[in-house]
Amino acid sequence: MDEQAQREIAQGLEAGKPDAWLHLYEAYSQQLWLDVARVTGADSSTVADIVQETFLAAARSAGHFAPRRGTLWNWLWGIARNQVALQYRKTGPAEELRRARAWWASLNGQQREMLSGQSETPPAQLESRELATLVRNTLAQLPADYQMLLVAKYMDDAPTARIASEVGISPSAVDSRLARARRAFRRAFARLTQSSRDARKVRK
Amino acid sequence: MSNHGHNEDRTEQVVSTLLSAAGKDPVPPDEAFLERLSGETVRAFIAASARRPKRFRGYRIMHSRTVKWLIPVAAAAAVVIVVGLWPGGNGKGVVLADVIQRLRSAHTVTCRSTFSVTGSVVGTANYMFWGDHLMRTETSDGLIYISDGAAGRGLLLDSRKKTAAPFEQIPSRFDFYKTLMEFRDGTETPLGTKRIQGRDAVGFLLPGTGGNASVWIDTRTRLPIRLEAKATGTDGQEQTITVEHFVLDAPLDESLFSLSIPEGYTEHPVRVSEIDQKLSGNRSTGKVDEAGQRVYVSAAERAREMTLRTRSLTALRNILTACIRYSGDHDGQWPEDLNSLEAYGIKAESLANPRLPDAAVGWVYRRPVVPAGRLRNAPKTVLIHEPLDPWDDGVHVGFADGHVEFVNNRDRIEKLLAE
Repeated sequence: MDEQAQREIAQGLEAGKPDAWLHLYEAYSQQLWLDVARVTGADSSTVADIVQETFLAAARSAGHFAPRRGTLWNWLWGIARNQVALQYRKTGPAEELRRARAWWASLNGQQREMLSGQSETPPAQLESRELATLVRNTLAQLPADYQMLLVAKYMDDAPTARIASEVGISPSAVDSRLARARRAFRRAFARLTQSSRDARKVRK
Repeated sequence: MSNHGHNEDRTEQVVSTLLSAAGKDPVPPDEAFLERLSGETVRAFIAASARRPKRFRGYRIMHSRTVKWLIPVAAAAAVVIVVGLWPGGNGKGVVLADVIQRLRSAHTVTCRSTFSVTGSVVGTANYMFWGDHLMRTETSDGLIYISDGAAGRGLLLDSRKKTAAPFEQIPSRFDFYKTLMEFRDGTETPLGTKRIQGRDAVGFLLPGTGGNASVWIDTRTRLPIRLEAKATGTDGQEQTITVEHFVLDAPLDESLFSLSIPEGYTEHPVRVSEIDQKLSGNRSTGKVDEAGQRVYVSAAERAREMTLRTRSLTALRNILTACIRYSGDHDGQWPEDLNSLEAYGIKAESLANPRLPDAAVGWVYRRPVVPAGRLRNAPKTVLIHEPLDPWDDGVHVGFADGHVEFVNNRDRIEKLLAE
């Protein structure tokens, strides 16, 4: 969505115009669904719950949306991220995560290679449910702006120009922020999986 | 390539691989669900937008008049509402216009009143307003009155005796609503300026109040600094109410407005007339004078009317939103008639106007001849309105930009329709 359209929607939201809200909803509802589905890996009903809570919360606070604090997508994703976090809290400490960490710890030295990028990760591992769980839990720990960039770039395959427009920054700024986001992801992933190995050692 | 660049590349490769794999094959969007959610979110948006401006603060007043000695308190508080609803903008109304804006954008308002009889203070009360229909009054002798204007219900608590009396009617006879409707822009009388609490204030005598209500506005903050209202009892004693200490957007807990009986209280049902009598006690100085009686009508009846008006407003908003959605789906073209909106959740029964259940025509639809994108002035283009006849207090009007107004000036609506 270009800057002019964003501005018009923001003005409409402030003035309480339903057509502005509908414009926003139509522009982002599909995208929000897909990104929530990717980030959570949840089933349709859970994704629907999160999307619903996100849009209802957004509808209630849309009149206070401040364009100077970011784009509409920034704002919407910020709300979605909170709803995803709430969902994680509701479902409790993940048994699935515990299993995923145990799986990671059982890879017998392949982890280092996988994280160093020195060798191809076997497809069976890449497609494993456990790895996806670890990746999603790592993403959930990142700040909303890093999360949004990584999802757009590597899960949506969005071109940099489009990301720049949605986030409201220049393409070169997207690149440098993405570099920081990747480093943050890698560190968070290492922490998440490291603690699982430590835990296994203690249990032994 | 430098080591740093090499590491960056590897990091990108790892992160890209991990995220791409995890993000594969998300559950596809449930189109039917998103379509249903669309309507739900529009309603939530409209409801939230309606709560922000305080166009209907008049509710508060109608439901605040529980006791005879509180009547002037409500009268003064009503002045706030009057100012909040004032159309404004006639040159000398610059200050009023600012006040309107401030009050409309406030979500909560608190203020404190003092009631005097022939110059002696006989009671005080704290007022809390939440949104456009909830009000809580706490009197200095331990009575708490909570009202929900939209629901037409109230709860009277005696904090000393720990008794609670819920009721469905609003036990009040003072109707400021009519007074409100009689106000016309430019009919206020300037009272000049004076210093109040060390601050410069500009005053206005408000019409329709028998010349007995005035509002003083702080010239610096553009907020009401003092409201004064006077009435004379049949015993000739002068009753005065002064409302001060206005705070906008004070952090209030919504539970303060709950109509549930609090823990520790015993329900003690009483009839409405008894509540009135009970609250009046010995403080009543009798009926107000004739000028005041001009605006005394059955508040219970008025509460019912206002409830219907709220329902009508909601119905109109739903129809209007459906029209706008229809237009969005049809290259800006407007529906031929309101019956074309069934696919947008507006069924035949939804087209009945709750205020006019027996009318042959509940809503008048004016289909613009040009598509939505080519309307020259959507905020002033009337799309749907209630029938003008029989003219009562006014009509709800829905505009092409999606906003709804209650227009109480017949000349104005006729001018809008002519345009």
